[in-house]
Amino acid sequence: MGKIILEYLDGNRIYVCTKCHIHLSNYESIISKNFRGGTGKAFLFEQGINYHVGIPEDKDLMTGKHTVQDLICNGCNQVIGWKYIKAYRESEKYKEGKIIIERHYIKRIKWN
Amino acid sequence: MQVYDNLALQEVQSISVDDSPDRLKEIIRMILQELNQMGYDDVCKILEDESQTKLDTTQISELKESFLNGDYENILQQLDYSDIINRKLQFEIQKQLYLEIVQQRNYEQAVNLLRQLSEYNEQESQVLAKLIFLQEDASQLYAQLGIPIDQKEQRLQLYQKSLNLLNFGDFSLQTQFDKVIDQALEYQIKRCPYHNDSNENKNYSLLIDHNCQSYQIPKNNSILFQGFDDEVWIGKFSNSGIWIGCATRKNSIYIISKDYQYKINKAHGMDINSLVFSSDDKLLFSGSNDKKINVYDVQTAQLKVTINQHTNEVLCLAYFKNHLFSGGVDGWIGIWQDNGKLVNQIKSKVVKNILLTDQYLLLHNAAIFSITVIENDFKFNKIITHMEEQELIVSSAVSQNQQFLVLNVSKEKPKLHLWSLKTFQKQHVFFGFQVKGIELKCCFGSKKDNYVCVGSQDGKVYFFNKNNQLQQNIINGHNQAINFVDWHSQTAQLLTASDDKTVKIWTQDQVVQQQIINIINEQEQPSNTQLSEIVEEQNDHEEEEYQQQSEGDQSF
Repeated sequence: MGKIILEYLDGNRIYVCTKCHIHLSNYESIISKNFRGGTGKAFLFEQGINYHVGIPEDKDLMTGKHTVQDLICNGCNQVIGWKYIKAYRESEKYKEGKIIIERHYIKRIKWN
Repeated sequence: MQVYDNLALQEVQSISVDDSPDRLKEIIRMILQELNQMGYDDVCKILEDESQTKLDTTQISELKESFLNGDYENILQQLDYSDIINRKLQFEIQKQLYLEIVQQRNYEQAVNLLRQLSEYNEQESQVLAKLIFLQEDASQLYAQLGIPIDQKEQRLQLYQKSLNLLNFGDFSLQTQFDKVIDQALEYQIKRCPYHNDSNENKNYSLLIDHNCQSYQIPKNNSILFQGFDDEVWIGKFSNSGIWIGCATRKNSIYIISKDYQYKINKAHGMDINSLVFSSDDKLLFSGSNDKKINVYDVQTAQLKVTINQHTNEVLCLAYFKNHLFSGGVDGWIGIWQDNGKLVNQIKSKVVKNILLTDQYLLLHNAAIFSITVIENDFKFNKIITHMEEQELIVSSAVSQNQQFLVLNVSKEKPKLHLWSLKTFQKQHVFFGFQVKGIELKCCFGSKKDNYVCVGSQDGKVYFFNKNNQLQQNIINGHNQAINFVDWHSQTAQLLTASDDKTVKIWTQDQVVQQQIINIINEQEQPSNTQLSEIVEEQNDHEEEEYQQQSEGDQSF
């Protein structure tokens, strides 16, 4: 397949995938740490890199009905979270376009 | 092998010839003008009579009469072009007037005119002044000014010069014929797909269309290396061209020469990002995502030193003037000696590639879309400029003459950008090859770095002429993606490393028979019996005695 093209992040406090160590997001992009996924704690990030998304689905989450798609790591093709496409409740609209990555799948590098 | 030869020739053949009577008249008049200038007046007369075409229209004939009669005021009234041309013309006519006045020994008027002339062109006026004040040999001064002595000829020359000024904007005595030839040659050179500027090609015959041969492309496969353990991601020539160093997806390193080959199994724990040879080809350095830099002895493939000081992935290595440069996610660039000792550190961003020329240190940044140019003095703290791109730069390479940089910007659409390292401007865009999300290496090649070469995802190798943007040569290299291309400047060989687990060497010369070399895998026995001697040696390569490598041309 060849070596896949990877993006990188400058600066400190970067979150990387535990399995393949590619850069996913950083501390500056965190919006909230109070989320929960299948494996436990999860973070809401404004943006991330080196991922691709799966098929959009409608799901009933704790906070209501949303349209989400799986977030898949480019390096190891593992599902590590999800991305909000649409929120049906007004109070949840702020999440649209943002991504959730579960704490279990990421680790910190360049932390001071 | 698909070769797009003679694109220019095809184009020229499709141009239809215009043989309308107006066109024929124009051609004859152009010829008349040229013959006139060459001095073949009799031939001109004959041609004019036979073809019933005169060179000069009545308007031009009248103008010519005015010049030959010295009727300068009339001339200046008739001709009214741009200010610049008017001024130039005025100067030339006044100059002629001055010469005639001096001939008539009307010195007072001459000096007044001289004052006006010196306002426009002081240098020439000084020479003109000598005519009055020094009374020197007039013929010598005329020669200096480039003017004939006879008055009639002077006026004729002035007439011709003026025509040229009005047609071409300068005073050189060029005819339309000359101008058309110059333009045609320029056009043909531009359209020549294989054009190279070397001096051997400078005599262009006017009787045949210009067309360089494609001899500079290494399109003949001379050697095939097969049997690598996985996709080959890096394949590089050593500086002398004797060795090649390869890295595969399974993190193995191969050191191969014509005589022997080494495989270093599991050289690193994670992806190997970069391989470089030291300048004397004694050492091979490898940098990897496992944060380590390994230093191997090329002749024995033994690991000499491991550099552990990076705390994050090592993305790139470079070797310059006896020092190793390493960069990566850490945010600093390490400068090391051959024994692994750290000599200097340069603060940087996340660096994907380090390129060094005599003048600059170029840092290919991974997180921002730019190349940082730093002055190559011992300190590296002077940033000269940033070369900005609109999207992620995947790979980069510098030409042998250090004047150009090529960047693979193929995240969205496959294309290469060519930058000049003199002006720091983007010069060309090349496209046509295919990429889908994998890293492809691009490089320069051939004498004078005329070509930019890149492998493609469909297994073809694309060559672009740096000077004209016509895509010109494609070789069917492999049946799977080509990850790395390396073109050796001295031996003029090209190396392609591919996902199909092979490495191929290409040359310019015709190849009688392709040589297939099987790479030894420890598990397998090679089928090629000629190499069996080498197999036995390979099994215990740590305790081996090695043949002296003889001096001389051992390149592939």
